Amino acid sequence: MEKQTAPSDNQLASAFDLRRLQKWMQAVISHSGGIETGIESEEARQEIDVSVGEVERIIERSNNLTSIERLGVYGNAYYARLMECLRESFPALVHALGEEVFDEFSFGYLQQYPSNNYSLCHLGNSFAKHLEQTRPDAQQSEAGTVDWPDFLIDLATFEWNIEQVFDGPGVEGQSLLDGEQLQTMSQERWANGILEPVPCLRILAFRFPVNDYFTRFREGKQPEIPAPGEQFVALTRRHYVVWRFELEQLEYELLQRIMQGETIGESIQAVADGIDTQQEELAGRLASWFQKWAEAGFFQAIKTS
Amino acid sequence: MAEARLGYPNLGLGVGLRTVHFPHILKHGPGVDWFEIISENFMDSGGRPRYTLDQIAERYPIVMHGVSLSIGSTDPLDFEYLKKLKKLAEDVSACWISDHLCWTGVAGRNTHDLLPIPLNESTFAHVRERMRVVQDYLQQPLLLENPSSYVTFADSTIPEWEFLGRLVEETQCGLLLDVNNIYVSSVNHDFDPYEYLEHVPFESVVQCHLAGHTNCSTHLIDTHDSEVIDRVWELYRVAHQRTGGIATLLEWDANIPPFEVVHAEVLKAKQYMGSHLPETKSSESDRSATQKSAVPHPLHYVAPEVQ
Ligand SMILES: [Fe+2]
Repeated sequence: MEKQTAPSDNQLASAFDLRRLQKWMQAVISHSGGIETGIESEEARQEIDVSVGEVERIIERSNNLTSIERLGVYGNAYYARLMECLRESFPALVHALGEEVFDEFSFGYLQQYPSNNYSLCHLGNSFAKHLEQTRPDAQQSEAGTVDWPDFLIDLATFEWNIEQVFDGPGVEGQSLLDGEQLQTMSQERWANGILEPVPCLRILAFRFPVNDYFTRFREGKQPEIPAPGEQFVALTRRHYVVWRFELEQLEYELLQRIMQGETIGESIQAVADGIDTQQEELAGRLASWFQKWAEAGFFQAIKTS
Repeated sequence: MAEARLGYPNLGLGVGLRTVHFPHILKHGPGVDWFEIISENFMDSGGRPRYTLDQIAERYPIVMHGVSLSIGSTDPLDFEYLKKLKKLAEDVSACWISDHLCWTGVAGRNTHDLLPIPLNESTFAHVRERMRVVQDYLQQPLLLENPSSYVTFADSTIPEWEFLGRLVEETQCGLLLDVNNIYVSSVNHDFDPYEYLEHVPFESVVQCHLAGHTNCSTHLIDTHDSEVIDRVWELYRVAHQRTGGIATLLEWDANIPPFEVVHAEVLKAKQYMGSHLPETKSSESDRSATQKSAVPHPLHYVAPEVQ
């Protein structure tokens, strides 16, 4: 980008266009090193090439504050506001990390993924991804591999999904698939049927028992970071409240296939192939799962051709 | 001469709708005249917040107040945003839509702040054109609010009141006059708030905002976290007299007290509506708490309900 040099006198009106000024100001107030570092940054200077000492050419001082101090009001607010917002989106993760460490993560996150949406609802979209990308991968110690980063990533994913389910599209006021509908259906029609999940259903797999951790956190029990252990969870929403259901691994795998649009028959076949269990035992488990799913309102309808 | 308030009604005394007050409002149906919502908090909501808003909109007039239009930005206008804004306005039968004379970000980013623009001929032409496009799209006059600001630009040649007055004239938009913002900016930029008020085109002022701020001793920050100070009430008195009465709204966004407290605060406006001399004595001191730093106009978060 072509450089714009600072005007030598007060004839500023035509010297910069608004776009350069805005790009400059945004770079300055959102710079992680503060206002002065921001002014001196390449990003700012390629828009308006003023030094810290010359900044009054752009931003006037007031009776009480210098130009730098005045810009600092916006600079302080920028990170404070967005970090506060992230703290509210990930309360259990804040507990797990402690506020200070959480803030360090979110400070880094906001630099990597600044908001580009009119709404703050999307601010935490990539938080789990950011934790993944900044995951300390050489965490080998004498004691072996340190896997707590996986816990943090899982917990972030879990909390973000809860938030999405809470305020995303739902099925309140609509009729859902009930258990009886399934039971009265012929075996063949049922096996060829495709279950249509409600839009608020999320099927999640974790390396740590984050659902249990979340429960204990909400009960005010100050949970410690748990030992690793797979946990499978379904989230959905009924009457505007998010509900959590723990799933068995096989149940999770089955649901995943169903969510991908496979027929019930295909899904069952696929998961049954991979396990060593008696037909009858599996049939019993399937019956109880389908009943549970229907009661929990996982599906809106069954499509049979 | 233009019709007063662009023909919009005087809705009386309202408060900003905040999610912490949802249960109270649904349960008690308080006798507040109207509610103002932050548009962005409901535009994409498919859950409880939107459901509750729909219920409240059945009983109370709703006004939409936005924070992301970014009318002063040099990024292209976001028509996806405008589409959702218009749809929400139709859905809740919003009495009108407002936003701020500001920009919120550039190059695709959103700082989620209300940033000031230099006020000069070239920025005026820029904002005027965008206001025309937006109002054309929304098919209704938009109200622009004077923001609180913390910097002024060497590049500015037009006072804010004149900038807004000319926008009113040339785009037939309305104004949302925030008397607390006038006060905050007057302290921050060393001008006389009464001189500002003198020049406001009151016939186009549709709505007034009241709020508390934070005194950082060398400057003020618009935090919406406390009562309205007497000096701001005195500015409101003038606005009321000059408009002959307008929809008035109290914003309270941080340390939000129970609904009754917020409602009682806006009802104080009645004391400043008489044409007589003040009954309350105006204290010379700024009662707002002195603090080192604070975050201007905090944004809202809705905690999910989980079982
Ligand atoms: Fe305001």
